[in-house]
Amino acid sequence: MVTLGEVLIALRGLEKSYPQGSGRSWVLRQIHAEIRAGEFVSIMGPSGAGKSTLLHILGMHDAEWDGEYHFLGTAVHALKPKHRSELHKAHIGFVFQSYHLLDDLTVAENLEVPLSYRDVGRKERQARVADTLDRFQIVGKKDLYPGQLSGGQQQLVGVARAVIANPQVILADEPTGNLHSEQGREIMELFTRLNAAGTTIVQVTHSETNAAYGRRIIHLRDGHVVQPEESQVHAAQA
Amino acid sequence: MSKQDIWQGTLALMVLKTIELMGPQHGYGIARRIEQTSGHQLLVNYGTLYPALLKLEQEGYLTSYWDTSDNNRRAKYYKLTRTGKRRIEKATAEWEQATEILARFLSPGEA
Amino acid sequence: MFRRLRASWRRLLATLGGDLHGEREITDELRSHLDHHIEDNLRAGMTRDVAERAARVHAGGLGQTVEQVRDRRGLAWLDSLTQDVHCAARSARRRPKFAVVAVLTLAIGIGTTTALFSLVYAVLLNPFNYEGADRTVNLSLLTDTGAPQGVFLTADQLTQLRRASVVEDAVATDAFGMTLTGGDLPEYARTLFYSLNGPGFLGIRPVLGRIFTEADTLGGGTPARVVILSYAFWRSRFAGATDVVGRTVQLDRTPYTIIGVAPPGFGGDILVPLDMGSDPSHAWSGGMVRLKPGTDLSAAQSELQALMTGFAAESPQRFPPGFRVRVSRLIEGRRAASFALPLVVSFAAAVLLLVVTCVTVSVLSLARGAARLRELAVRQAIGASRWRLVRQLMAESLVLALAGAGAGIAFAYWGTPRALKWLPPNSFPDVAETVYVSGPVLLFGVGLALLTSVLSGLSPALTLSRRRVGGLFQAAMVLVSDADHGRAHQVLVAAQVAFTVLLLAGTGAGVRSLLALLNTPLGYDPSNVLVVSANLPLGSYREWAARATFFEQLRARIASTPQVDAAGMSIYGGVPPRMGWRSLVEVPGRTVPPGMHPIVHRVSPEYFAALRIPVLRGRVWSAAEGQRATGVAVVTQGMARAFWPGADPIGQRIHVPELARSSSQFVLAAPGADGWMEVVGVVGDTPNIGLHDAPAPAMYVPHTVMLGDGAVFAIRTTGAEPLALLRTVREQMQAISPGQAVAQARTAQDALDAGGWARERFVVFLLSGFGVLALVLAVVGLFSVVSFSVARRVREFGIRLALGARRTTIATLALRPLAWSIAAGLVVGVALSTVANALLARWSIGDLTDPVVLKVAWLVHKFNEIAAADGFVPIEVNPSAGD
Repeated sequence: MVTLGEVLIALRGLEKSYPQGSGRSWVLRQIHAEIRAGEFVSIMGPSGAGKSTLLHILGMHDAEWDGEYHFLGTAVHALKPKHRSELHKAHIGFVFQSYHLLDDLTVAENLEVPLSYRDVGRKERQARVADTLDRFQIVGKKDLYPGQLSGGQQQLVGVARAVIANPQVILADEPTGNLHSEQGREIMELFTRLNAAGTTIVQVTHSETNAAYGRRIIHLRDGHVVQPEESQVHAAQA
Repeated sequence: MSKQDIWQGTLALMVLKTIELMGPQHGYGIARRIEQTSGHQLLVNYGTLYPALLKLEQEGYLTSYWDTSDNNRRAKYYKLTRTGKRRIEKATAEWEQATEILARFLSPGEA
Repeated sequence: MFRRLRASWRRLLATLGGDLHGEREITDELRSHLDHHIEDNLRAGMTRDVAERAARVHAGGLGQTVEQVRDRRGLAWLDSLTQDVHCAARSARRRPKFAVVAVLTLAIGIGTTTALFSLVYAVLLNPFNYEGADRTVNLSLLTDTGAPQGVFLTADQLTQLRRASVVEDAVATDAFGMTLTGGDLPEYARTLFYSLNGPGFLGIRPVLGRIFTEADTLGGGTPARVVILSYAFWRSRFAGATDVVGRTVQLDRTPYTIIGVAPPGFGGDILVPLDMGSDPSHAWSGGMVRLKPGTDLSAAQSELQALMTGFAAESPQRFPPGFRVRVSRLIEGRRAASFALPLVVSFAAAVLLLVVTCVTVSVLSLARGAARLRELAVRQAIGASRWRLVRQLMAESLVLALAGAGAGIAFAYWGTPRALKWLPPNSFPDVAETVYVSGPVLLFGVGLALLTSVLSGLSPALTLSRRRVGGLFQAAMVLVSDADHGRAHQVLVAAQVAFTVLLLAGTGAGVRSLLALLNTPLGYDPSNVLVVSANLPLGSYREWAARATFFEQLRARIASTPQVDAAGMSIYGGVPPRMGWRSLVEVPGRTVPPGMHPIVHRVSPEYFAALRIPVLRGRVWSAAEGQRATGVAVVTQGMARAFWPGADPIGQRIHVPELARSSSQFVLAAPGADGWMEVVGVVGDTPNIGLHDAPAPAMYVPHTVMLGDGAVFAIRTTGAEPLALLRTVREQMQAISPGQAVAQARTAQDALDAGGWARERFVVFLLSGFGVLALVLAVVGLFSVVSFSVARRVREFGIRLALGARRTTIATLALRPLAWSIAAGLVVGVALSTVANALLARWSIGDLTDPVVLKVAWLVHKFNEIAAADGFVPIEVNPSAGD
């Protein structure tokens, strides 16, 4: 169990840009942020504000950026790609908007994959998969392929896959974007329960309803973090 | 981290440290020594010890060989490798740091 | 890194030691733990009972721990490997189209390579399955001009040879055909003659009966009339009957007793004792010598040289002046033989074809992998390391390669014997008996599978496993990963084109050089000629005149048959490319060296017309001269040049002692024959010692000079299919002499095929097939790449079309990225061909740099243009990979 309040993620002057013409096109600019262990944070903002980009940087999928990123006190910006991926493997679970389950594998096998990538022994793997299937109440679906599940069910498996390796933080990119509201609510309640059990949750969302499940909102606009009142001003203008 | 992992991690350090102090040693000797050192507060059974030894060997911190023990029995001896020695230094430092941090939490008065 | 490597190595060793999960070791270790504990408890004063229980309780469950340790030790690698393989197999099942194409492609490569390897192995690598074959050498002589010649030894000299200090044992050998009669039809049997110690020397373990030994004599050095059947002959001629031993067969009209059947791999049809007592001047003879272990070849040669020099002093007429002894390992003879080069070239071509198939599968995997980028990125996102992804992708190519190898080896196993059946027997020595997918061949096939999986899988695996998670989920990055992808594709396409060009150049050159052989002037016309042999009933026509008349009646009757243009007759000689044997001749005023003795044919004058052998100078004897057995001869151009260089051969006299009197009861010399011949004409050369060697000097004399008990008729039709005339010919014979059988009937073309043409044609066919296959694969590979890029740009092309672009413009756009690869591939391929050409020049394989290949490559390019223009979208390329 992680001590509540410890700084999990610290961003200082984080920037991302692409070369464009003679200059650069900025996606993220001077991002300063801190996320503490045990928090439930939502990242919000209009399309193209850089939300997903930021999330993927946090998830260490993207290595092309400048500035400082500390994860659990480790300076990610100074790490070699191999160590980044180790760090990511040890602490982070990722949930995608379009689920991204492996189509060739059954539900149970999809859950097993992250464990096998973490060199968990077979017995232990089976035990944890059984446990997780139980916890998410999808035991009956374990031998089905993703194509045979509804969107909500697929996302449930996606979340289960993200948590099975006991990550400290779950990063979710529009987790309910493809779901209808009832299914979306289930996923959000699931996040709430996981958060209550100690897992840090960071989600990107468009939905105020979903954001309401979290305790804090980071607003992004044109690659900048903006204060809530500022963002409301912008919203009013728009 | 699950409880078992923590115990495994700690046990690994105890095992390495024990072998460092006693020289090459067989599993039984290591178990007894850890129990003695802990003032018999710890009980080391097969199920925890041998997987840990194997893991350390697989990770290259230990090597093993069969030999005859003091009382003329065949036993498998474990010996520290150079990587193992480095591992102890690193783990000790980390452990000290961790306990120091923990100590600050546990006795907040000094902060 | 090293730690992990070392640990893997240790685990591997434990596995190889049969202790898969280290189970034995961990049980021993825990047992020792328990024993130590019990001992301590005893020392502390417990009773044994209590001490044991206390130790057990303290230690915890034994079985559980063993299992836990096993889990850790074994499964970490073995389990995840089986998982990868399992996963790969499933992914192949779920995308059967790709899997089927890839497996078939690999099966073609592995199958052909394995099939040819099985031939190379049986014919060139391991052809002699008897003991000490590596120490066994062929013994022959070189004349002062360097021409090879056989060794002729008496029984006594063989005994001395066998006692020489470097020699473990020696055997005298000879080989020619005998006629097997006594069955329904007389049959030609390839006969291997061995001195009586031969079968023992070769270590023949008969599958039936026994072998002949030095005890099998009739006294006085004459061997018993016994015969051992070869395995193949036993199966084909005697249907594998188990009661053949003890049966009597007629060989050249002499009864022989079958005493045994040899195992596969000893060649020939029958093995017969060599009569060392008979006059060796008729037959050439070879010697095989097994050297003592560790004997140096040159030491052996100098000792044998001394020995042979001694023999030459005893019988100078059998040894050419200034001869040198040559010893060569058996295998060298094989490797120098005429079939070795076509075989090696075919094998090399097959290997090249295998490389092309591997590259093709690489290209296909990469194109397919592009559709899987999402899956791979998701795997990375949930924690797969690059190494892990590479391993998974390699497992996939391993599964494909193993399936391909399975299909390929099955294909080779099934197809090799069937393909060889197209060939006349003996095109490659021994293959009918020994070519099958044996242990080493199987091992080779599996090795190929592993190699193939690396060759075809590594490049896609390395490319596809590149870390590009970020790219996948963000449109802007997709371009970056595409660039990687494109590069790998371009390199692979270039490689494929280069190898295909090399293969085409190589096969083209091979084909051309073989065609050149096939186009070598033969000196006769083998088309539309029926060759029929007839033997006289035993003991009939014992008078020369009666026999001569009978033969002429038969010939004339056949010649008068409708659709017959000409009918010639030959005694024992047959037709090209292999006929007769050398005879001793004497020419006044000169000595004829042994290597120059000509082949003497006995023919009727119509023989030349029937085979269309051109008369170059002088004339052929008349029918009347023939009937009178006049002492005239026609020599070949080669003989004229060798015997009377710069002089006119017409009018020269030549003596053939063996034609002066009947040498056995079966032949009848003309009354008053003295063996002297006057040369009246010169005819063209025809192949007479095989297709690969220049014709030996030869001369023709009237067949009546020495009549045999059988004749061979060469019948030229007016254009009708020769074999269709067989029935008529039989009836004509029947009309002259009721009961007269045709012993053997075939066409002159068949004889040519059996002489090696069929083998050369087969190789030409094989090489052309490889070339075509490689071309098809190149097209498939390029097609998949083009289609892939077209699919990626479908929207762009659609917009361009909507804006009025023409289809050809679009095709050019689609192909432009690949044009450079193809060009680079062509350049590299031509360069490689030039290098290979230089290497092969000394083998005179032909020219590999040929504009033809460029045209072919251009065709490939053109084909793809068409494919792109028609907007084909191939198997399973998903243009919307990613989000």
